[in-house]
Amino acid sequence: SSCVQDLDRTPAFDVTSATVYADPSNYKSVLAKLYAVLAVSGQQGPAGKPDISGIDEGTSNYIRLLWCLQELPTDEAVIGWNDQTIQDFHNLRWTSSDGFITGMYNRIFYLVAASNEFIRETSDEKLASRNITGQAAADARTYRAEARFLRALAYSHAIDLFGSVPFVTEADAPGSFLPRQISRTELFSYVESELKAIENELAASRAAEYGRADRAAAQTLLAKLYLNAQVYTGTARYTDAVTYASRVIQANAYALEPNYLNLFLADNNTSREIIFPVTFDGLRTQTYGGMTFLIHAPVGGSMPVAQFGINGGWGGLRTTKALVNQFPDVTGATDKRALFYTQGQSLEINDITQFTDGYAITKFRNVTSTGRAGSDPSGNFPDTDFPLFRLAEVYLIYAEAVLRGGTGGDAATALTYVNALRARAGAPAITASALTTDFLLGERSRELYWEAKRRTDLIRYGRFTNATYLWPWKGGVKEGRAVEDFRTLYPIPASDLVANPNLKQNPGY
Amino acid sequence: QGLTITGTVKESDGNALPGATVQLKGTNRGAQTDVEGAYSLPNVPTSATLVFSFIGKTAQEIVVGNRTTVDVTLADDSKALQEVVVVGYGTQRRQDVTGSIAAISSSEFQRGNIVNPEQLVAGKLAGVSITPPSGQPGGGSQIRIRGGSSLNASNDPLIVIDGVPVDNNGVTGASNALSLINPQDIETFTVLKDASSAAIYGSRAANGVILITTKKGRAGDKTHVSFSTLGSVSYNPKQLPVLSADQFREVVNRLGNANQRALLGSANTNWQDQIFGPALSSDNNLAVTGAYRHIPYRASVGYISQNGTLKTSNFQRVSGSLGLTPRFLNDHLRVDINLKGSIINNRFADQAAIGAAVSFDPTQPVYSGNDKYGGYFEWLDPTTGRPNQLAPRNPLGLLYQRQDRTEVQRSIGNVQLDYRFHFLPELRANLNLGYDISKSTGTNFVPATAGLLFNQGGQNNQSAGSRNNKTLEFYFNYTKDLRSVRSRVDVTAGYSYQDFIRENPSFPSLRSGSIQIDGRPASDTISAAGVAFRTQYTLLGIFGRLNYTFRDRYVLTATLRRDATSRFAPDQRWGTFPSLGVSWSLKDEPFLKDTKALSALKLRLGYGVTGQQDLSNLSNDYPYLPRYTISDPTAQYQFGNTFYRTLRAEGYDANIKWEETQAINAAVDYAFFNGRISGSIDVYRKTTKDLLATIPVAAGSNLTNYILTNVGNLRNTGVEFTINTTPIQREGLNLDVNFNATFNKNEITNLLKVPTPNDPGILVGAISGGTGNTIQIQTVGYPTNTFYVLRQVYNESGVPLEGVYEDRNGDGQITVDDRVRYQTANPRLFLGMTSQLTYRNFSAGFTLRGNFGNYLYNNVRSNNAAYRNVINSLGYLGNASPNVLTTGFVINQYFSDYFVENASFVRMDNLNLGYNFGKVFGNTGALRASLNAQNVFVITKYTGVDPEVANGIDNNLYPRPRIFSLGLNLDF
Amino acid sequence: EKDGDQLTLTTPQPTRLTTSATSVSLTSATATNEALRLSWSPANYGFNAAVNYTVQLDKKGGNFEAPVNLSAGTSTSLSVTGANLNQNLLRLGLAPNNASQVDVRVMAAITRPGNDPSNRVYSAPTTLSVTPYLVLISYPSIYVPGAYQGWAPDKAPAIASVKDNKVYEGYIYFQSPSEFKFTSGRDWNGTNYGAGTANKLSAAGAAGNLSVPSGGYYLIRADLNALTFSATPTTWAVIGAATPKGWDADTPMAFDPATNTWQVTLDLKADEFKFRANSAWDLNFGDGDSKTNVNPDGLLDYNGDNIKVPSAGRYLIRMNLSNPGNYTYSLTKQ
Ligand SMILES: [Ca+2]
Ligand SMILES: [Ca+2]
Repeated sequence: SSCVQDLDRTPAFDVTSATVYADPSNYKSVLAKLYAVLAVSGQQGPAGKPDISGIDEGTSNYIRLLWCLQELPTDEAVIGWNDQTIQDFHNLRWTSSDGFITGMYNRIFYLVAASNEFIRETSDEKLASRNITGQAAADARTYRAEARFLRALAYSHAIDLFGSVPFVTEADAPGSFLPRQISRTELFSYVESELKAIENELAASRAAEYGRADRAAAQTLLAKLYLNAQVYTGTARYTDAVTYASRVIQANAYALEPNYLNLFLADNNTSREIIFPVTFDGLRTQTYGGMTFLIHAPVGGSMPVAQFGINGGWGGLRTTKALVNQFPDVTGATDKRALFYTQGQSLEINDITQFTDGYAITKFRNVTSTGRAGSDPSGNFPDTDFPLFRLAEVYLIYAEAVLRGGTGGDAATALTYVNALRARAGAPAITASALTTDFLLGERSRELYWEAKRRTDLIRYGRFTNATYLWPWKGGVKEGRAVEDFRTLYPIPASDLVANPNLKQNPGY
Repeated sequence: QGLTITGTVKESDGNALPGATVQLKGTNRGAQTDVEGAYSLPNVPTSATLVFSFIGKTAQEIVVGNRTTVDVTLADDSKALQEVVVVGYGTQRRQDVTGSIAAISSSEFQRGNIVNPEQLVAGKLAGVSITPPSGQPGGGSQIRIRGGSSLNASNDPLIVIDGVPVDNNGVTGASNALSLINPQDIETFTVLKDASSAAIYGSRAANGVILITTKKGRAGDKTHVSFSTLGSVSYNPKQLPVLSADQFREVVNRLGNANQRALLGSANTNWQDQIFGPALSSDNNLAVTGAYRHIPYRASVGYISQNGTLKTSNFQRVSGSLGLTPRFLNDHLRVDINLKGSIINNRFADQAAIGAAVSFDPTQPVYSGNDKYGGYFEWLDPTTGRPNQLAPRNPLGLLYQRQDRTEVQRSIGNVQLDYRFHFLPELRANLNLGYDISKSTGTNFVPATAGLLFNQGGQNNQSAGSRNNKTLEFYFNYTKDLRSVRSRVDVTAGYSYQDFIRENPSFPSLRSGSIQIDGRPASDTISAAGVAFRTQYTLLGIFGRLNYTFRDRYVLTATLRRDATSRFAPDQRWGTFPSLGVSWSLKDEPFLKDTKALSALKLRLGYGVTGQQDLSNLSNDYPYLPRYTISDPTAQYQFGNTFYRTLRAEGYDANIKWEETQAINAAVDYAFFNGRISGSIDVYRKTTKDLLATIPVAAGSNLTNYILTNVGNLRNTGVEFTINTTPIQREGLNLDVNFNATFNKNEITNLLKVPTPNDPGILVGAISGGTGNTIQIQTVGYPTNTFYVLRQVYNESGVPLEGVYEDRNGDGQITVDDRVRYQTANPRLFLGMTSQLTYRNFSAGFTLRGNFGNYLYNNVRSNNAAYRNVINSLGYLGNASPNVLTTGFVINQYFSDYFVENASFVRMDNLNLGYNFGKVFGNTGALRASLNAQNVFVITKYTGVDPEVANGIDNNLYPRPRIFSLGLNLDF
Repeated sequence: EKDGDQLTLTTPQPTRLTTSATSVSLTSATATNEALRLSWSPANYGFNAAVNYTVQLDKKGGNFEAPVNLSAGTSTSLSVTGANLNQNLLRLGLAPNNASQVDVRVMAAITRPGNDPSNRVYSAPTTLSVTPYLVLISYPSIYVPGAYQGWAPDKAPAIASVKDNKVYEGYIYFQSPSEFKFTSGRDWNGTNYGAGTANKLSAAGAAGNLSVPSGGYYLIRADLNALTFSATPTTWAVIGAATPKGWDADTPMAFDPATNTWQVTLDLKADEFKFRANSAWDLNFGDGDSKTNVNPDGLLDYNGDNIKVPSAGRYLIRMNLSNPGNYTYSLTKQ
């Protein structure tokens, strides 16, 4: 009867999956969501309608959490806040109930699941069944390759941060099943095979629209994985790292940004160096995570907010003297990459919660290279994009892989690359004999600090947990201390161990 | 011959009782009282006995003697009052009731400045916990019947007004669904507490049902006009503890560096004195009852204006109601028409001012002396000269520089046609058509010059919402006394259709003035309008009830309801909700019949299943559908130079279904000494299974990390006692004392799809301080909202040691894993006591209420009692709780169990005095005056400002004021 | 309820410290071996406390006012390698290759989340005799073959770039006027620098030799970015309140070509002194730099903090500048 039919209510403004995929013009909007998982926290900017819940929305942003998990346990950053367990990162003593770690894990698997959904719905069979042909079908296939890239990216973070994790692909439709756990090595092989499979399905290097992944993005990700393969799988893959770094470099599509500072400003979307950005916009891509966090949180004390293009600082992030000491002087006179704010700040950190303890960092700002402020009149949300992959890192991967015995490259070329970075920074060139792996660890820090790489680097160099390298407040004590080796992996969140009895916790937790 | 006897008949509250019968015993001679309760009966012999009676009152017999004036006060007859009880879809004789039904009528309601109907019965009903609202004018209470049955779905009872089940959801801008009803229009308030009585409402009855009937005109009534006016003054009895200006200076001088000391001002400002002040309110009502030709009617208008003690807060309501109750076809067709309408105008004060007043430096002046930022003193960022973004804003500026207003219009109405068949008068057909429509509009304006949103350029935002709910219900009822078999049957069968639509259009967020700061671009729009919200769901139900009475003492009630909701997939849509209740009136058995002292004794036993599908607080009426939602313009993603609004696949559970609550109830109803002592004892257990809870989903298996699904079980067990006594009942003097008590124990018995012993639980209970911190947890084996804290360690003088906690797991580190589950916000025991005394023209009464075993997290302290609140490196000074002088905490210790305090309390809700002046204005009217005090005192060990906070986290509650009111009632 | 089982902290008895040895002599050869093992009894605070332990080392009699802390975490023992112990002894300012006395104790403290330890309890101190060794760092270097040593790059003294910025320096003793060149390696096959035009260095094969006009102890500097070089003759002295002449005048040192060190023996007060060249402050050495948190470590620092003499007495003061970038000194009581 008609009354019973009234029970078939459907949403007024949302659409159901059947209607979404019937129209190929929707596909790009679904793809845009997959990218947006990295940038915003939900369907409403800056907050509201979150993608994941159980955690403060702004805090839970993908890039913000990735940054916190990669930087806060290292010598590059301290944070003064009292939010939940955030001080545990400095103390290197987090637990499996940690909200930040759980949030990162959930962001990763949200991106994996959302990508799986899109990949499943854009299979060749499904496209054919919906009579989507010609250019629309070709576009859909490229989108699908990008979704596979994003899924590989998310899994690469899972490999790096968590090791052995649940494994789902487009073959697993949403439901209440319990995914199996895949070993770190097996997942490495899967991500490797995925990236190799899509390498040529993606647009040629720098031929994609800005913001979308191209071939170089996949190659960079492969190179990064290979560089860390010894850690991830127990088997070194330096030659492969050299191979894929070379492919990126030799395509000549990307070039070093002449001015280092411009890489981190509101118009960094114009840079030819950034291979894969996470884009933000003051009016249209708003979040309390991402660059909003990375530009507001390091501003405090006597720092002039106008120079950062924002309305005020959040007074949280600074660095330790270990990073400061990587540079010959703090003013940037001998290396422009030394972007420290020292006025009213002390080099020593006696109290992590005091913003004025430790030098502040001025790397990321919401002003353009010509000094104009970003587009948000309120000064809340920056335009600056986060450079997730950029050519400089590929240079450094090449150099390190060569030094660690990778073949297919040579030390002389490596030296050229490293000196190209130093020349851009106004730092003196180094000699071949000075180009050691230890030097490269320092150079990576000087070039890439605060770009969410440090933890991985320290682990690869075996200096993350033990006493070989101590920095202020490592392990929660001022002079630094060694911690247990199992801290090189984060724990599988307790909530997922309960939700999914198939999972086994990482050792030590 | 005899004398002419005159006199007045009053109710126990001192009100005149019109229409009471005065009869000469043994004759059919008598009289009725007039509108002032007066009567006159001529020619009465001195030996005569007068019988005074009125429906719902205990009749009194008085020997005249040689008096000529006999005044009488008729007490409520608890037994008689409950002769007829409102139940779902009709009424029942009290004696036929098998379930736990508590009814309370207008004469027993709480008095005073009462805005919302539920406050009328606070403390009066066992098993019904009503947490009064904060001090916000027009605020609504939290109502819980026998504990909450759900974790994430709604715990609010179903409210049925004159037969129309209304929407539980608050309308945008109004505190709760009941706030639009004028309490003065309410006749009875009936609560169906157990499943056997509530199950007739099936899918919506898991949290109990509240049935409200409004006052009506009666056939043959003379025109009766009643006017009441009430003027109130309210003030805050207590201030939140903060350091005085001198204590504050001492702390800054002792601990601050030169820069921080230089920030000290020379003023002595009590910020709470600035933002709070005594507030005046008035409440005026006019009701006309009578009959126009053969149409009985009641019409009323009410106007209430309530100011809050927090400056700028104001609530105004104009309400009107019209009830018509004509009867046709020789009373075979009864028509009930009810129309109610109200318009609420609210100005919401920015309650952030309370927190700001607590944390604002008391050495700073209120006004800066210049005209920047509205003239208010603000902490400025020395590098920009603009308001320091991290500092609190001027508390008074927050109030006067924000105009947050809403207007809500609502109308509820229904037409009920009840036809008694001419050929079969035992059979009735009843059709009820109802609607509940509301509309709200709001504006929220902050000038661009205000410190509050200076960097943003102020705010000029709009909001709106509407709802449109329709009800159609139809049932047949067949009632017949089968005298031959000494039985009575009462059978009901019916159909129900309800449809609910909620809409919220989206508006852009606008500046109130264009700004240009630091060379950033100017624009009037902060953000474009997002996606509008519209949701609709539909409920269908068929129901039946059989009530069978044998020998007037054995009663059986069985109900069955089948319900469907559009919220679930077709396969899961229908649910079946049966119930069974039996009762046995022992008093009517021969062996007790002659026991004079015992006037009633009845045993009841009930079982029922109720459902829950109200997901409205999760704002999704389509949890089973694979949906894609479009992003707002502020959450787009850039490809090339184009920004795309994105389409997000939502997580869903295709198999989601009803949450089901099974409840059993066993009870004894008793009355002694002609009803002068009466009451009941109920024992219950409610078990909710397939709990609709939001739980973590196995990572990767769905398109979300938390999903609403049917998982887990929850149990509420409890005992309720009610004792109503009339210790004194004499001519001109009457005393009623009523007491009720409820023990309730609540426990989560399962919360996992796959049970494991290491359930970490689900963190809930967000607190102020830091970002994303929570203080409560839902865990199997514990009550809901159990506090989850670190065990504080104290020094030998009992002072808590900053950051020193028990290392529960012995790993040498203090982490989340050392937190323990400690106490809960739910009271173990709650009590209510009311008493009413009448002596001639005076009346006096009070209501006491107490909760025991409930704990509160003192978030005001945990967030303010640290020297870091005073001294920081962020360029301003802030005030702290004086508790810091005891603890010496430098950094806030949010997770210390030190801040979980026992919040048991006894509160006198109400104290009232009345005086009846009798006839005034040349005998044309009757005047009664009353003096009320509300929130008279609170006895508690809790250190915060008020121990009663609904969810267990005390965080700068808008203080409940103490209210004194003077009321006048005039009847013509 | 809370009042009933309130946890109360009671200050524990001091813990008892035992060490695996009372005398430790360290060498670079055994750097990776366990040099010392310390163990102690646990501290009982009267409740289930999160106790962390820290071993503290200080110079004997230093009263642990500026100790070196070795965190042991929650463990009640600590094993220290030779390298680790050596590094920490040098941070205390102990002279390498000399036996010194250090006081050792263990501190128990309750950890507080994100904060400093509190409620410290210490063991009674134990005194150890220790001998640290000098740790030399090899910096990127170029070499200075010349007539003075037979034009042999493989045996030539080096000059080093401590900051790895292609600016090199070192101290070289020339017995007499001599010519020399710079080589990038220990042979002539790399880049060789000689004299170019306008007093600049030149890497051309035909470039002439560089030279010093007379014998002496020279500070040699070469900047391969700017291609400049300098040779500054130096004579060294001690000066300071610890010396008989106070801060007003130098007490010269003598150069001993056999050991390649500067030496002087004199009576010192328990006060401070520095090394300086050419009776001026342009070139002076101290040890440590409190402004940049560099601890005294037996390695000299340009413009460094004054060197403290532990107690008055007659001392042989030695200064060795022959190891570029690793300039050392020692005080030996006579
Ligand atoms: Ca951008
Ligand atoms: Ca622990």
